[in-house]
Amino acid sequence: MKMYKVFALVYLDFKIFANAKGRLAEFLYFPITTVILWGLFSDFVKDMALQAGLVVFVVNIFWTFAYLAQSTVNMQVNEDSWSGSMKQIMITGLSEFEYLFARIISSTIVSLLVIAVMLGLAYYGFGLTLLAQNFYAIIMLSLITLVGSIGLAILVASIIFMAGIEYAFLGWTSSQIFLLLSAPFYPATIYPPVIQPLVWVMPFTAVFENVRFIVANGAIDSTLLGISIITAAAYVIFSLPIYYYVFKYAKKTGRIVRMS
Amino acid sequence: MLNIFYNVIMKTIEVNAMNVIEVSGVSKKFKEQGRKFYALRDVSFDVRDGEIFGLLGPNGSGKTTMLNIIMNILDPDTGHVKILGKDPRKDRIVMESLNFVSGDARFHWALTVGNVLNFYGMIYNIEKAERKKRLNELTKAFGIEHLLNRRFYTLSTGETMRAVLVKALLNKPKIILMDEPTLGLDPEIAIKVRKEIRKANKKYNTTVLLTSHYMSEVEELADRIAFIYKGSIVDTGSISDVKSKKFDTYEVIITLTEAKDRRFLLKNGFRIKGNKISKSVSNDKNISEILSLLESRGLRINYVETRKPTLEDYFVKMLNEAEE
Repeated sequence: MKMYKVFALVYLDFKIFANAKGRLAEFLYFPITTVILWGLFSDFVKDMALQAGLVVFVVNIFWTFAYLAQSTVNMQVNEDSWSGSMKQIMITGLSEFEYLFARIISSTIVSLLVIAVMLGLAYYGFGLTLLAQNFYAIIMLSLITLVGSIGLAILVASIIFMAGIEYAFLGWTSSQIFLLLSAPFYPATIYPPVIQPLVWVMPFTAVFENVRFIVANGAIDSTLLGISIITAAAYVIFSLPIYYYVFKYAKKTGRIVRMS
Repeated sequence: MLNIFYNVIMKTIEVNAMNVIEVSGVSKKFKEQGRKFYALRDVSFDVRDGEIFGLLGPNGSGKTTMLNIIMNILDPDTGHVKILGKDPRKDRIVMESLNFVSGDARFHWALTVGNVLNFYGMIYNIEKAERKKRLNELTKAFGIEHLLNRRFYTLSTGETMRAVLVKALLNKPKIILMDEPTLGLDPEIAIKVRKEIRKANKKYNTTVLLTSHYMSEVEELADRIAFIYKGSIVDTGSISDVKSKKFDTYEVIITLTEAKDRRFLLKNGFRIKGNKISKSVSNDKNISEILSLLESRGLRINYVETRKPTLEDYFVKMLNEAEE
C-alpha cells in the first residue's frame, strides 16, 4: 500500500469537508442536536424511568456515531461519482484498497472527533456521569462500534460498486435497517424467535446490549464485549474480500467507468 | 568486433523506436438490454516514444473504451495493454508515468483549483518543495496563477482546460492521453491548447495519444493515426501514408482570364465552373504539364491552386467504405 496515495486522498476529503457547508452541518449540526434532544428527554423522564431515559440517550449517541462512521465512507465514494471525478482519481495508479483505506481514515478521524464532542456535551451539558464512571468501557465500545461501522461501510460500498450509482442512496439509508435489527433500545429477546439469530449477527446488537447493561449495572459485561468484538471484526474480515472481488467485477463490467 | 557494433546499433534503434503503449489483441464485450456486443474486437496498435498518435473514429466506435482500458479503469476480456513495457494491472505504479486530459474534466464542486492541483501533486508523490516549484512554473506558463483560490466549477471552459493541462503536466508524464482536449473551446483557446500539446511533446518528449472530432486538429498534431470503426482498427499509419493509400489523386484548380475553348477543356478532363477549371491529378504527375498544355492552347492563367485530400476527406471516405 502506497501511503502517499492514501494521504493525498485524505487531504482531498478534508478539503471537501472544510469547503462544503453541508458536510460540516452533517458532522456538527445533527450530532449536537441529537445530544440536546435526547439529553433533554432523559432529563425529563429521570423521575419516571431513569434507566429508560439513559438507555435512549446513550444509544442515540452511539447510533449517531455508527451512522456517521459508516455514511462518511460511503458518501465520499458517492461524491466521487456524482462529481464525475472518480475516473480522474482512479487513473493515478491508486489501488482499490488505497482508495478504501483513505476513506476509512477520513471517516475515522471525523467520527472520533464527533463522538468526543457528543460525549463531552452529554457529560458537561447533561451530567451523564456514567460516562466518566465507565470511561474505558465507553472508549472500548466506541472503538468496536467504529470497527463494525467500517465493516458495514465496506459492504455498502461493495453493493454500490456492484449495482451501480443508482444505489448510492444505500450510503445513507442502509444503516436504518441495521438499527431496526440491532435491538437498540430493547433486548434481542423482544424480536420473534425466528429473527433473533439474525439480530445477533448485526454489528451493533452486542454493543447496544452492553450499553444497557452498563446503565443497569454500572459495569461492562465481558461476554457481550467479546461477542461485539468478534462481530465487528467479522464484518471487516468478511467484507474486505467481498469488496476486492466486487471491485474487480466492477472494473470488468465497466461499472467503475459508468460511475465516473 | 563487427558483431558488437551491430548489437549496439540495433539496441539504439530498439530504444529509439520503443513502444510506450502496446495494445495487443484487446477485445471487450458489453451487455446491453440482454444483448452482447463487441465494443472492441481484437484491437492491436502501438504508440511510439515521443510521438503524437491520433485515435480516430465515429461516435461509438470504441475510442473511449480503448482509452479506459489503457487507463486501467476497465479490464479487457482478452488481450493486454502495456505501458512502458509493463502491464498496469500487475504494476500499477507505471500509471504514475501517465496523465489524462479530457474535454469534460470535472472535480468536486467544493474544491478550489489549488486543492485539486495539490492533491495531484501528492498522489504522484511529488515532494512538497518540488510540487510548489512545479505549480508555480506551470500555473504561470498557463496563466492561471490567479485562479488557485477559485472553486474549480466556477472556471470558464478555457480556464478549466488550462487548469487540466497544468494537472496533466504536474507529474512530468511520459504519456498523456487526451480525450477531445479542445471540445467546446473558443478557436483562440483551442489554438493555445494545441500549442501547449506540441510544446509538451517537443520540450518534455511527452508521448500523446489523442482522440478528437476535429480532423484538422489531428492532422495538425499527429504523427500517426489509427482509424477505429465498430470496435476494430481498420487502418493505421502516418497521416500521409493513410491518405495516399486512399487517395491517389489531388485536385488542381485553375482560374483562367477567360474559360474559352470549352471543348478542348472538357476533352482533357477538366470541369468548368465560370472562369475556374479543375481536374483530379495523379499524385505522381507534375502540375507543370497541365499548365504547359493550357498555355499551348493560348489559355491565360490567372491563379493556380491545389487541393490535397485532408484528414477529414480520409475520415469521410473511410466511414463510407466501412458502412458499405
